[in-house]
Amino acid sequence: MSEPSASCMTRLFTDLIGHPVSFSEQSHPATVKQDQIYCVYLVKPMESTRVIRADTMLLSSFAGALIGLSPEAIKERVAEPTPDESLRDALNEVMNIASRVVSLEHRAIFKGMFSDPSSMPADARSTLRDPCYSSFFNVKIDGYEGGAFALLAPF
Amino acid sequence: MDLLLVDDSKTMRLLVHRAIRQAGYRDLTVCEAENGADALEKLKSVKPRLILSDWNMPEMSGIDFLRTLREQNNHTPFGFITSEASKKFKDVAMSHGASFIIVKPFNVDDVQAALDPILGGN
Repeated sequence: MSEPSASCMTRLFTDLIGHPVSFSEQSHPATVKQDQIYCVYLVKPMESTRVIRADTMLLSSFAGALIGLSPEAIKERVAEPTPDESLRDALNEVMNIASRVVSLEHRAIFKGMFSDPSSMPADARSTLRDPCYSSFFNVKIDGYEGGAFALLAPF
Repeated sequence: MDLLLVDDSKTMRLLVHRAIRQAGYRDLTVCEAENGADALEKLKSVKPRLILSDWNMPEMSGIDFLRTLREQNNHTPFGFITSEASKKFKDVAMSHGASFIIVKPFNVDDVQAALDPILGGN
């Protein structure tokens, strides 16, 4: 697959949330230190499944910045026992727009978001378990908490 | 009624609203709908000068909404705000009578450039 570059990711997310974002490519996945979110995409016409795996706080920062929340307000809402509806809606929108960089040549459709990878569809679990292509990024967001971001594909 | 804004995402409706205000259209009256079917229902009681719609929505997609609208002989100017950026989608939209496509993520200039020719500047 044609690899989404760090600069292409940086541009998309900076334009989206209106704050400077910086993606830097890593040779290995980051050590998992916090909860992660798994986003599933169907790529047409191959009908292949790709997965974005990212730190919950990173994706929450994207979503919160998009709707104008402060970093402190985002942390408070993420810590709440029940998911915050506005943050979740914004996160859905962020990951929907991210479909533009999930596949640079084909059409990627955002199918859903999971906090527990075992609840993902079988194709997505397979991509996560045994990806043929992986791209790892460390992400910084001006004024907000950053984190790890990975794109995994079956071929 | 100036504008009918159709998107299943509350966040996106908020962002489009904000961008429209920032583009100088502060006094624009805006009606919102969550999908094409909801928008068709709202159009029974409102007559907007412009319809701005998402493409991918549950119940009735943006392109099905546009198709239905034109079948009903409703020729209100129609624009898409969508993450579908390919030429194929643009061609389908234009062939069904869309006036423009704003690709997400968008900025204020994108919104202004699309709205000005139809709403006459601000």
